[in-house]
Amino acid sequence: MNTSGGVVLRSTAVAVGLLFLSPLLYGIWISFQTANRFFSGNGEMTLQNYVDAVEKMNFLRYLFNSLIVSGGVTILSLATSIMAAYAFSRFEFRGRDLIFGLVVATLMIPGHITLIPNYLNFARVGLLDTYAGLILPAVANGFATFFLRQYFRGIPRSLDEAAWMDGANAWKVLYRVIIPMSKPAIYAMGLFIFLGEWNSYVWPLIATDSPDMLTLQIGLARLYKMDAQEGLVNWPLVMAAATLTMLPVLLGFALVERHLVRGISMGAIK
Amino acid sequence: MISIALENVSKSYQADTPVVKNVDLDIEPGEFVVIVGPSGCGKSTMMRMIAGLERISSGTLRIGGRVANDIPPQHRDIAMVFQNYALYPHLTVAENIGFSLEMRGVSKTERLRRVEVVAHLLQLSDYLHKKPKDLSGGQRQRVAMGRAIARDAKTYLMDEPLSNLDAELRSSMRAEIKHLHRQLKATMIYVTHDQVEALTLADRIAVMNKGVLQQFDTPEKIYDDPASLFVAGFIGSPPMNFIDAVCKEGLVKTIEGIRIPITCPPELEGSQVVIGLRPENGVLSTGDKRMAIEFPGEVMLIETTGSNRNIHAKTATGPLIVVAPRSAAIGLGDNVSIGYRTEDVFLFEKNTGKRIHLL
Repeated sequence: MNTSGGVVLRSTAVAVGLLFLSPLLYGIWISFQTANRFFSGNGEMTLQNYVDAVEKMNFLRYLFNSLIVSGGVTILSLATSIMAAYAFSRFEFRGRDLIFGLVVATLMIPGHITLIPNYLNFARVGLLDTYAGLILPAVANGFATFFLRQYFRGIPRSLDEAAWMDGANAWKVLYRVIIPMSKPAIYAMGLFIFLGEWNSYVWPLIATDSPDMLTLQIGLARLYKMDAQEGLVNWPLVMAAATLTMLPVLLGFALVERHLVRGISMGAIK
Repeated sequence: MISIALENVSKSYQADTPVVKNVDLDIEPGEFVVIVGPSGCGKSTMMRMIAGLERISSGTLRIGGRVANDIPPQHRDIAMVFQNYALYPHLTVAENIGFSLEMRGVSKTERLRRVEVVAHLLQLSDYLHKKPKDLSGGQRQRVAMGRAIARDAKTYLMDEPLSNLDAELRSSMRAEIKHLHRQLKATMIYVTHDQVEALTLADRIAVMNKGVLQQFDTPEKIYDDPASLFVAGFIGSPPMNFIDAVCKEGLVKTIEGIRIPITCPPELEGSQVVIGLRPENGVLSTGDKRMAIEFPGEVMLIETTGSNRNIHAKTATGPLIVVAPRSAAIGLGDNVSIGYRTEDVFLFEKNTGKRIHLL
């Protein structure tokens, strides 16, 4: 590629990047404005919206709930998916392919179809408005099972066999060979699951009731309604709360990004 | 040291297509046995059955006299070196070597001590903190060996461990493996398709073809007294010359009608046989015929191997190869005579490939 071509390409990339970032940056910009300045154009920049958001929204409680629910779902669904994927990729058993087919078929069922049955079941066993009620429906994850099974199949079987010969049993092969070698895939999957759960809205909305069990997304929606006066929404406050809601996810991404990039480059060298 | 016995062992992945057929093999404690054969002959499958990585379809495997068919690999006390080394890429050399000790619950101090001893033995001490991807082929191979010998297994299996190395390294590793066997005094089973490895390493060689054990004997016996046409052709370099012939009137005659002065057993009268002649037993001459059997021919190709030359000649019975000393004054197109003594002749049944022992 010649230099001028490179400049054009890079400029285009930056422009597209800014385009995607613009709503986010605009939102953050608004979050530092007073309501007065936002609506009338006059007034000062302030950090008060952040203070108000934390106080009015019960932010720390919702953050705690979201972390427990998203973290719990991520850990538990990775655990079940890793074990299922290991079984599907490594062991011969009757009906294996049929069962795997059924797991993949669950991807074709829209979540809204299972919403009411799940609600009724959880109501029956008294798990509504509990962490277990928020976490358990997402613990069996067909997509993660499928994704990890495909990744595990790419790991040479001779490594399992070497571990068997070295004295490992099935569990040790899994956690000393398969899991460490699949870290990039597991981190990527974990991030997707965490993000999906962090942004989840409908199930937490119907499965929680008490103010102490709300997650950040539900809290954010309530704040939006709660603070609206005479049809006017206090957008700077809502944007401050939305920015705060986004921060833990950005932090999480920064933590696992190294592993994701390493995974991609490992694949490239091979 | 432990004995290993295969009794009538077969393996098939699909019904009626066995890849290993009724193999009987009795390996003495401390013996170095090499299983050799062409690709797809079932040698690796046989080793994997001994390791416990493949189920045995029928027959009995005994390890130390105990039936071991259903013992899982981790409980067989067998260490194995894989063809592609199968090093754990996420672990360092030291962790790779110490992995089997860790799996067996050996304390960290003891593990480190053993890893250092093994690394010293295999000249890996400087690489203990590197990952396999940072090592050369030869170093990886040594790590694979190290991983196997770090624990005192009773039996060691090696599946073509030198096949990815260059000729020079292969030769030095062969010597190291032989040396290790002497040090460890363990039973070793080594799979290869390379006859040089088989002849140089083995106490006894098991020659396999199409899933059938052809012969199980010492390297000398395999070379001097091959049990079948296949063994005769597979062991020896350059390969044995074969000439189609028939038994007629008690003597062997080539298809072209040349009489070979050896006596055919009476029961083979009229049947087709194959004459086998080792290239290194042939005597090349340009002068008068002096040997019991002579094949006159013309030199078509000369290969220099260093100390010797392989002379390819076109004769009335077909192409023949003979090993001649480098000093022999032979040139392309020369008319020569390749002579053999009658005791140099091997005879085989054409249909079954079985050796016919001459009286």
